[in-house]
Amino acid sequence: MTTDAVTRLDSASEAPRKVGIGLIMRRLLRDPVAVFSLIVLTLLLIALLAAGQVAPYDPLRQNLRLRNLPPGTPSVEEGGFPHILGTDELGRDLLSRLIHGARVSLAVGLGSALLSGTAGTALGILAGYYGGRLDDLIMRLVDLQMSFPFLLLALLVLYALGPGFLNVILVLALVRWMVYARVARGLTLAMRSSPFIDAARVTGNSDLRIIRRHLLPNLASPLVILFTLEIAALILGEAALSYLGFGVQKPEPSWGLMIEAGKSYVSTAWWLTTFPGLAIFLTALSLNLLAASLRAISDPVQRERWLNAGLRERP
Amino acid sequence: MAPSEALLAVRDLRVEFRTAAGLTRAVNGVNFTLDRGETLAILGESGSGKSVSAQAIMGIVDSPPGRIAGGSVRLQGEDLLQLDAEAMRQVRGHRIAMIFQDAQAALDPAFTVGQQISETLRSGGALSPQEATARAIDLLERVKIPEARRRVHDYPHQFSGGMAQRVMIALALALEPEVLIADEPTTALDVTVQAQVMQLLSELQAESGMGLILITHDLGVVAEVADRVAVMYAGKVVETGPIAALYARPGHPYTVGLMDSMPRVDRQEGRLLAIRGSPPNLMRIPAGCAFHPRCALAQDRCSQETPALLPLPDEPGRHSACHFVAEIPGRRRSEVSAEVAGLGASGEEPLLRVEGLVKHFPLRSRSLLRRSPGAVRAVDGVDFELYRGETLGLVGESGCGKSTVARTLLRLERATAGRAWFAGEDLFALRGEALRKMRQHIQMVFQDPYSSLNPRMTAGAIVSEPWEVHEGLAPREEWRARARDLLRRVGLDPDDERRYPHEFSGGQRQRIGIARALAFNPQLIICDEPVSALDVSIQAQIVNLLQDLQQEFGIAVIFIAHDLSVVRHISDRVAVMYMGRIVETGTRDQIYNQPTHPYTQALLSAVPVPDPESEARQRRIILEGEVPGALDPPSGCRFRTRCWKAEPRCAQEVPALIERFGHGHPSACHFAEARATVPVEG
Amino acid sequence: MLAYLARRLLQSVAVTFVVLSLVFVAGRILGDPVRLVVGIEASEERVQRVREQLNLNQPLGQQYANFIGDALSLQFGTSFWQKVPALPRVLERIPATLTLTAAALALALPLGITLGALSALRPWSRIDRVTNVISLGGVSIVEFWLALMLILIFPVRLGWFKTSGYGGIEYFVLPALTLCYKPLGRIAQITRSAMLDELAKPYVKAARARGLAERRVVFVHALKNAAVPVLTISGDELAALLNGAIIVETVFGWPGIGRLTIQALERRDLPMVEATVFVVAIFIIVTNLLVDMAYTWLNPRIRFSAAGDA
Repeated sequence: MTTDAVTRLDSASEAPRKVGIGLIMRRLLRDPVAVFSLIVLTLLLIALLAAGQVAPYDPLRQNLRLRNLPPGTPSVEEGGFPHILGTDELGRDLLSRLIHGARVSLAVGLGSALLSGTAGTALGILAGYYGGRLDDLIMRLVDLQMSFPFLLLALLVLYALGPGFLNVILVLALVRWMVYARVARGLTLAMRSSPFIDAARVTGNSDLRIIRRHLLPNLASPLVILFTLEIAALILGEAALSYLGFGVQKPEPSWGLMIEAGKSYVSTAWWLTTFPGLAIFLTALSLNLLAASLRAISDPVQRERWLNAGLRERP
Repeated sequence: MAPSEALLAVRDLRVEFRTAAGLTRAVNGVNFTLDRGETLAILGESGSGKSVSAQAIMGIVDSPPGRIAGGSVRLQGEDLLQLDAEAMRQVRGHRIAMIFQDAQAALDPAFTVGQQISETLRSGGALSPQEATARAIDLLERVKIPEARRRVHDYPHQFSGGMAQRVMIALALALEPEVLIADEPTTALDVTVQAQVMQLLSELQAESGMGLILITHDLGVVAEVADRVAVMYAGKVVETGPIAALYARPGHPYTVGLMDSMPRVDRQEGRLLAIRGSPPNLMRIPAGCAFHPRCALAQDRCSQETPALLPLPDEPGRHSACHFVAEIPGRRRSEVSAEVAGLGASGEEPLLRVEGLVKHFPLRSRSLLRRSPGAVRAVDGVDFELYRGETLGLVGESGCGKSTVARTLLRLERATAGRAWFAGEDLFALRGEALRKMRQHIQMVFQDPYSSLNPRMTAGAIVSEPWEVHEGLAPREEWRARARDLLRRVGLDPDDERRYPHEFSGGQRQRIGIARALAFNPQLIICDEPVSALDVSIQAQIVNLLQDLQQEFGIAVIFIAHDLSVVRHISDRVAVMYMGRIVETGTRDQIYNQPTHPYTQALLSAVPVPDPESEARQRRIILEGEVPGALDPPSGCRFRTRCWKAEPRCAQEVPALIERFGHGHPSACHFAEARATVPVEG
Repeated sequence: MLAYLARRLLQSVAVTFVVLSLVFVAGRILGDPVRLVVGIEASEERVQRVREQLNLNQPLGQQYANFIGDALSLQFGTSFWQKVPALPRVLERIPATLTLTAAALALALPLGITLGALSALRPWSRIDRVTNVISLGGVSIVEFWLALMLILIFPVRLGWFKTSGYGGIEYFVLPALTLCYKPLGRIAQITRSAMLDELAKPYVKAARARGLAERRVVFVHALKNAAVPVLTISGDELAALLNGAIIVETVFGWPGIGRLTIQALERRDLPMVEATVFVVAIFIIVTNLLVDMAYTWLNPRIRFSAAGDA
């Protein structure tokens, strides 16, 4: 049915003043929570790119004489960097293991998010754009997987495939693609019937060109937000799989694995579980906070309130 | 009249919105009064501050970011702006009530209408649930909702747009307010339903003696019902006065401009006299008189000194805020006599021939086991012809299938049945490359200029996309120059090519859409409600642009609209649709001066005429009910359920669209007879 | 309504079927189940013996038919590990998981909705930002770490509650608390954005214009509508809750299905794994059906289109 309901539109003549990057950055930097998450993410990025250079010790070097040293213990070596986060049950420097662990976590998170994001987005767009049986099929699968605990599914597949770093990436992508598919399909469906897509068709664009030139650029910002959220979810997923013994294997410094190893010492060496867990928590929290800010920035209605709130609370 | 006697007196009301981009002065010193039993129309375009003023009176401006920056609102002498939140809540609904444009959206979807009315009633005082329900049924009966006793238990989505607005009115009247504010109450409704609702509002007001503030952009509606008018521009009242005098001799250049911008259903005019430019950005209201950049009479003084709203000498009850009131000419524009439309010269091949076009949308069954439960019959047998260089107006109310006709012709939807020949080619048989080639000849202009442009492409990229998609139309190195030329032709700055759609106003975006269609040099442009989303003053600019371009390039146009006045203005021939079928076609003059189908007659008579002296109102035909569902249309003639002429034959026999009155004026009514429903200008 | 339920039931059967097929694929195609049972080092002779014992020497199609047939008659075979029929063992564990998840949900739902609604009242205010960090914290935390931290604080430092086991309330508090944080966070997030959407709608302004008290406008009108999207995701939320249950039960030694699943997986007990997955699938289907009915009740549009469908 056609809608003839007349929507009177605001016709403010001159171009509305642009809310530019500058304003958004000012607002972000004035928000302590946002600044905090940006700092955490920067540190992680450094760890990812240069773990070997930044970490004071070799994360795998064991020294049973240095077992379970509390945080702040000076190094036994002459001029060595103090064990500021202590050492683990095999005498390895905890900070160095955390830094290398960040690398594992981020690699898994980014790798599986990219994999699932590409596959899920592609399937979602296909389902939303072409509809019909293909859509039915894909969405049934999505709903099915959505309603099933993804951890259990991942465990089942890992049970068959065997554990390991690459398998974890693969399996996590396999159990999370539907998140993107659902979002991409919903957006595509909404956009497919929008006049500018009709206009593109009337202009004579091919389907492929419509998807590439008209749909994808408009899907970009919600998908980037989702991607950020998913990295967090996948880092948590990796930690859980490794903790349960089905993920990354010893002696790789995975945060989840470190907590598992430290749990027997909860009452005697609290730092063994506390710091890796904190690392996971802060990483995921920063990503989630970043996604929340991105969402506020990309939604014009929310953006206005978000900017206002931040700028009013000037000291 | 002295302000102390007024029921409601608004003095120097100011409302600001603080946004990140700056301070918006939405209401900038508004003054008016309202008496008991009086209807005051507040007339203005979008952004004029009329709705915000109403919300300020009600105390429901969103805050933050909004803030009432000054002034007073006296209800029987008591200043509402000084009341605390709880006291103000006691005023809302109880003493001043409000109804909104989109009634469906203004009702809570999760509660039945009965629950919502009862809730309002009980907020007014102790009332048992049974009493409240009984009162709710009374109220629904009062607003003439059939089967009120049953419908009181229905949810808002089960009501049609017109019925939902009645529910909204019932809600507003629940606590017997002294003032009712109606914010664009009929804008979202079809014209035949609009007439019903306006009539109901007038009756209820006469019964209760409440004061009515009618907020609208529609000069026609104002002329129909208002006693007095306040015209708003850029957050200020620029003119007030009794309706008859104000329409006869507008006292502000803006009012003159508005009246000239509006095409009329009862008149044939030449070019519309559009107001130049567009309404100001409320963050940067021009100094002095806000209207001066668009005003033909403006002088230096206008940009320096803000004119006050002063009484007009010799005209009781009239005020105007213009330094040069005395120089405003009376509304005496030359009225160009109607040129008889050129029906395609006999023997000429039509550019487009449509035969038996049918489009059904099957309802998707959500069950895997059952077959499809039926189909929405959007278009159900449509035939017409279109000649080169001709403009065919396709009119009808929402859901009549006019847009679906356009979409099937553009091959955006697959026709269920029927054929169409475009320049001799079978339009529905084209595939692949041939279809892409054909697209160069048939282009479209869309209703919503906001969503019809890709927000991620610049104006230049949008306009030159046709050349990118179709190789060989234009060499790449010429794209930029050509795009700039096209933008200039549609009245934009060539340098606008680098800007993105959100940087343009609605009217400017519609110009980009037109430029995109022209990039192909098409033979046919289908315009689907191209101006219905625009303000009156902008609408006139776009209509003029379309007319000029059509004459310049000799393009045939199918102009789809629900606004009969615009269609009259722009069309050579007109086809009227009702429930998926054309009920009458003819030249513009045949349709407007001698309509033969009862539906056309009712439709024409329902259009409000912006002339308080018009005699059309006495002859108004107010139809019963609303358009039946397209899932299961009435047998025989589909209009028979609302037709005053209906006889048993109408239910059995589908009336054919055949010549019943001379040449080129077929009508699909068994009892067709010519009858003028709008005055014919002699 | 009856037709609607029948339709949903039919869909559920299809879902179970797909899940079972998946288990079959995971168990027999991606890896050699015999090797899973006996381990990589076992002798070839032993492998052959076990293969015959388990009827795994038949063609895949036959195996699949047997498998589905057995599943339909609720026969999952004997657990390799406990040497008793697998299904009853799994069924025994249901009450423990059910109490835990129900308790977590009973905590998370009201708290999450309150927190989210509170946030939405003044978006980006101080209250909103604090609640936002709290709720995002729930989304960002891994349950096993939270569990260990709670153990570190309460039983280890303060001597409150028990670290592991099943029994009275002292065993129950920590697992339930741990499990509820994540859904609480997510529900708060969704409630916040749903409330923001609802509060911007015209009917809210219209309700104010009718002189209704602000409390009523927000907590009756907007909240009832906001509940619809919150409920829509509760099916997915349930899946997330079971993710959490797997971990929480393992950490606290809670004798539920989650812990059993991990134990079965660790011990490569294929019949037990199949039985747990089957039970989890049924559990999910039943609860989703309940959610669906609640949804229909809350959202009159669905209710009537489902009824008027006939």
